[in-house]
Amino acid sequence: MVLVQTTRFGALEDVEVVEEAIITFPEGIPGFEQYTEYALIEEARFWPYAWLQPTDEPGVGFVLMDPHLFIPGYAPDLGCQDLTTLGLADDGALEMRCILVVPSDPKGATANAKAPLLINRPARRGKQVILMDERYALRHPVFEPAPDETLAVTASCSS
Amino acid sequence: MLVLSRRAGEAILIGGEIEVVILGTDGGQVRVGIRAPREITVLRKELLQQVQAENRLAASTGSSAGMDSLVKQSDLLPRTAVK
Repeated sequence: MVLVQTTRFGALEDVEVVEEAIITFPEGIPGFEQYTEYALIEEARFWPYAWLQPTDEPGVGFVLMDPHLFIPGYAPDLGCQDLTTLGLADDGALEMRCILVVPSDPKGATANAKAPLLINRPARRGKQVILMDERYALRHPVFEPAPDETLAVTASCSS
Repeated sequence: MLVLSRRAGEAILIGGEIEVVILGTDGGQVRVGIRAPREITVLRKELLQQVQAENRLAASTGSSAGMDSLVKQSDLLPRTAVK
């Protein structure tokens, strides 16, 4: 087990993770190139969300989610992406996660479907790729509007 | 920064493996073709900057937002998606 520090809930705390959950991003992730080692914290009580925590910096972290949960059939064209840093893996072994932006009202959460994280779990390596695939957006809404909100929008459009 | 003038159809070599071809111009836009090995990432610079900014925003909102409040919203996930 590895102890990782996080301020995920405000106060600094230690979280115990299994060694397999320590993932190396050899190039860091854009904007945070200085951190290359991350703990992928997946707890049943937070399903379907996970937390990606740089092991060197408790004050930074990312909420992650499997894009298939909000984009059915999500299958980005990886084109000429260089996946060599991920280690040898057939496509089936690669897992995808999107980074979420969570505003104060979580209903407005968006996911970066344009730049998913690819994770080779057996090799414990990851990379955030930037897709040329135009179908996917930098800010994809995670949640559908509630039915009453949908009605309100329809009403305002027809008046 | 090295500055070169090129005409449409002319090319620039960077090292032995990267070729940049000026395909043509149209108004203020220049069309560029790039030949590079697969392991070289070719990106529009502003797209990388957008992803960096989005990651910084995600890091700043992720820490303060309770994961609990997100979990409570899970009923609003698209029903067509795999659950």
